[in-house]
Amino acid sequence: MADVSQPANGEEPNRRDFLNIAVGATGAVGGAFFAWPLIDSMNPAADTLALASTEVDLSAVEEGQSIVVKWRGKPVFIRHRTAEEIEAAQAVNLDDLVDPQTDGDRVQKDEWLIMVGVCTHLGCIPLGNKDGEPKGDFGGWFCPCHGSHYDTSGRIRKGPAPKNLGVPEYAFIDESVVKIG
Amino acid sequence: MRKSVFALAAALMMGATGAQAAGDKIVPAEQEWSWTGYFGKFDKASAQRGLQVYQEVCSTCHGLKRVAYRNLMDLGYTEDQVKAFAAEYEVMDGPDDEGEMFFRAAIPADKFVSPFANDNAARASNGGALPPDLSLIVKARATGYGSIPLNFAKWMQGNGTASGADYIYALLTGYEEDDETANAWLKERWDHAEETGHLTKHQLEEGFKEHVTAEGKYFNRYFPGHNIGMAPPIDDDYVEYEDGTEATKEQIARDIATFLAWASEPELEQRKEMGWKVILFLVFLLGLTIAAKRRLWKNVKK
Repeated sequence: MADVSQPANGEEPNRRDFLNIAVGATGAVGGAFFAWPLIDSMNPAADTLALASTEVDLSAVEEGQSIVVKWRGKPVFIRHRTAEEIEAAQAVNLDDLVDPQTDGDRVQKDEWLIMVGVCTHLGCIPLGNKDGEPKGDFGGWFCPCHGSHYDTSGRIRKGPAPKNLGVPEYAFIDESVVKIG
Repeated sequence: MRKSVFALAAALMMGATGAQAAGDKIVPAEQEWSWTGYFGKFDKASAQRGLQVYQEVCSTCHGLKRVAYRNLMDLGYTEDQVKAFAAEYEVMDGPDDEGEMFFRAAIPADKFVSPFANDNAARASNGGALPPDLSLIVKARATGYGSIPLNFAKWMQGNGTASGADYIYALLTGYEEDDETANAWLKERWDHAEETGHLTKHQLEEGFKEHVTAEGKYFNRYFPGHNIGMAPPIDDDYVEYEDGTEATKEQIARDIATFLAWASEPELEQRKEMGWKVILFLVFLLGLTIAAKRRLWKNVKK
């Protein structure tokens, strides 16, 4: 074995080392290029990514009106808040809140409140988007399952829910079109 | 050994061409396509025109349900163009709060909207004949070139599914106006087969039989059995191309075939490119390994 792994006459050991290293390195590069797509395939597929965001045209939503859009299978509440609602949301003393958060942290534009409409208690869909639906004691939303009351900023004020309604990632593409996700 | 392999291949090929002429299946003429061969790439301009043809002509009966509007960006459209294109269609969504289904404008993430709600509705509107979905039609109709060795040779040349596109092209340009011209064409084929000795004894005894196109059907040279339910869908200047290309019947057929080939195999360019990369890499690695092996054995093999 010794005369195979070592040059017998000690001549040009570097050249053979170089060749072996080159073969090993090329093989490793090839292995990496082979493995990359396998690992990459764990990323979400293109059709899933295409559905990951929703664009909503808000131009038809009147002041005081709410709409519900579907985003990743969940309802998203979008409310065009009135001046009184904005004022009420901003005037709240943070000490009164279960999950303290200022209204400014929850909206990008004061008149548009955008949040995931899933009650943080046990996942029901709160009422309060349509005229005639109960809006709870704080003028926002009311969860019919276990009686959680949310205010005009979607914050939990009364009832069993532990957290405020979630705010998804969103950005206004232009004046009236918002991209959620 | 090598000689006998070649002889066998040659014999198979000759036998195969003979069988092809005698068989009922008519092999469509081969066309030049941009995406065949080792370096083939889709002709984007042609595919875009093909999309226009699909939209204006085919889509009244044929769906394209496995292609999403967002996929059109591969053909060189911008996101805004795709959005505008998708918005022309309506898809059923829902259920809404009341449990009702509703229609909304399509978005790029949606698949092409099919013209009929389901296969039965499509049959009912088309005299019982089902217009097939075109998403994979080029692959589905790629029935080859008439013989296994020929198919293998074509496949090795990177012509994998081109015979499907040849068929689409031939079908769209292969209508005969009436039974008279149809039978003239059939008789010509018969005479040629008779001359070259490709008719069976039984066929010779029976003699040439006039073809009568069935009621409500149309004669097509390349459709198996010649009775096709689809009326001749295109003609010269049937569409007006946005890029000013002259819309001859042949041009339209070529463009729609290119578009459908892309729809069937959108990954084709990527696949061919990857093949080259892999082969070049393996050749390089083979060279290195041989050099290393030679060096390793130098002192043993004198």
